[in-house]
Amino acid sequence: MAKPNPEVDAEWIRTVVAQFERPLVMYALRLIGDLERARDVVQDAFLKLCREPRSKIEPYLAEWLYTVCRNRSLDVCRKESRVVRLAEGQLGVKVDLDADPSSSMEQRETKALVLTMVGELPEKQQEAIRLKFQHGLSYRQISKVMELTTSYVGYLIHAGLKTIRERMVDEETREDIGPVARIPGPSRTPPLPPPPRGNVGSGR
Amino acid sequence: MEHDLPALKRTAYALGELESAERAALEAELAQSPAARKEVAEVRQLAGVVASALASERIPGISEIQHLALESRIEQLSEEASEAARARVARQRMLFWIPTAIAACALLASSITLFMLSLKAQNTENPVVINSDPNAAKVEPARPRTSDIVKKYNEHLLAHPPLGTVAYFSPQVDTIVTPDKKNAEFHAFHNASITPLSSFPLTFDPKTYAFVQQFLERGTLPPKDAVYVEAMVNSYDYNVSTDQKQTEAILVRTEISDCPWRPGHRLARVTLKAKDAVTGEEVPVVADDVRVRVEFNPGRVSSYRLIGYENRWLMDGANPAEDRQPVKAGYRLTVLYEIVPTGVNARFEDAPGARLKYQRPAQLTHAANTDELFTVTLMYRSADDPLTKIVDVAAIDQNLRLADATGDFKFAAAVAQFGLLLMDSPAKGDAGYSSVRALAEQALGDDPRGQRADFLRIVAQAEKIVLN
Repeated sequence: MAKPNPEVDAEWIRTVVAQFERPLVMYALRLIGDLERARDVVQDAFLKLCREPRSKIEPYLAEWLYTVCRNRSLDVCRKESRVVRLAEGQLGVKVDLDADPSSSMEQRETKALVLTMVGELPEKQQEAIRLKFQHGLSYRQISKVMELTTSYVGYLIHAGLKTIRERMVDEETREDIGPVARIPGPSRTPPLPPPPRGNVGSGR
Repeated sequence: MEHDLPALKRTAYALGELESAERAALEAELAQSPAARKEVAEVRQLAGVVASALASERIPGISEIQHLALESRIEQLSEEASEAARARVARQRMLFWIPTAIAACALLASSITLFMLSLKAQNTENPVVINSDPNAAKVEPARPRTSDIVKKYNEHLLAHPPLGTVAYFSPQVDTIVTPDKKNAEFHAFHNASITPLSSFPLTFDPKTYAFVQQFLERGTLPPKDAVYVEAMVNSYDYNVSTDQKQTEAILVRTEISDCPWRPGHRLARVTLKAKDAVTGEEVPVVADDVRVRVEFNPGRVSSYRLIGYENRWLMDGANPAEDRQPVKAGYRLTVLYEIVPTGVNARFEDAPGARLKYQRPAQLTHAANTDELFTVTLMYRSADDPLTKIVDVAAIDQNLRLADATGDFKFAAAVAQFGLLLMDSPAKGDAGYSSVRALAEQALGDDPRGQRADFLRIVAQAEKIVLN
């Protein structure tokens, strides 16, 4: 039987669960591509947290949790080669573009476009970009989680942002010639499909 | 990897990721270069856009049952930890007391002999509690842990899967997986013109309600999927009929009044009651192959919903044997239907036969023009007659207001409403704890076994958990 953890702090663990539950499921889901398995991974991470002394984990809490989820997710992917990566629309992620009622139609369209672009970045760039901008981790924390050097993390994020910016500029150029090409009207136009991959810079 | 190092540095700076020495160097560069300043500003703006786009993604957290499993693990660990702490304190105390104890031993030897003699004389049924150290950690009376309840509940589910479903064990989450009751299909209303016939199983699993109560007593709401309204409603006694000389093997009674959780809707209560055993006799089987069918009158009913039995659609046609049951003496069943009368919140597509491309509107019979909302048809073979008996009981809506309904009706409606709240049913309407309490309190009159007062206590527990 495992030795009792003398430092178990029930209230603290509950707070951690409440704070990290959704972000971690979101992170694991992107790695595994299956919501139920992602939830299992996150539950495992919290169970593991119960066995660790608070004083040891607390200073590195976020990177510890993300690392445990990442390793466990990769294990699951390795063991279950049958896990099929689902298309973005089938992951079970809901997009709530109207969360901020003050945002304009145009801002909402931009958000939708950016989400598409992030989804099309190379795997590692996407993971780093999400850890930085969705999960609020620092370069250093990301480097621990992804087991990379900080400078490589900096490169991944820089390259990802660069690709997104270039493609947004492409979109704006299209918009600029829009009045000629588009039928004017009050109806909302759906976000344009992203240009084919070949046009995009290699991330340099 | 080939990259533009200064640009990488500018991005890192813009995102607040540079160490102080590098930061100072870059700030010096920025002071000189408007282009570099512009680039930093652009990266910051883009970072803001990306962050706000990613923030609009939503995902559910871990499941309710996973939360429960986690919670029980936390509890177990804290208990183990405090146990270990107590043992440590006890060990230290013992070390302190050993020399004193040795000295005291000789003195005690004689008194122990006396004490033993006096014990023999005492009534041994009363245990002697010696609390030698008032500072010792207070020992709380053992109460069931959530983990134990979850474990027992899982064992029960595995041994008795809910009707028409298969429970299986998933080692991944260390729990039992059954169909998700939150599926809206389970709670849907049926159009009386298109699906006029309904039926219900004659059995239910009373143990599920015991688990619901254990969860509540432990201070947690039960998992929504563990709530079976039919089991809750039928866990209580009703005074179906005081008629001692029941001639029919099975008696059918109906009562219709306002639906407490949805203004305008009607609530129908159907009760089945088998003949009671004559005292002294062995419990006979009073009827075999019992089947029930309910036909709704589209002339009066726009749609209806069977309350409870949410996973019944899985078993439709799958195992007809479950619909043909033997019924023993003393058997009772209470079933509730929520009914939307015609003309109430009517939608065009709910009108009889409306919008149907391939059918004409249903041809209503003369009976459809009566005040009957539905007819319960009971089919069975009694022990002394091989021929199947068919009994039709029509349910007439006499526009009875809820205040004038019987205590049994109010109580069954209160229990059902409580169940809808616990399972957070999409069909719960305006259901609320105050309404549950008010209804049950009006029904306290016929409560010889104190069951209804006990129900109010259970409701209060749940309400307390919800309010916290």
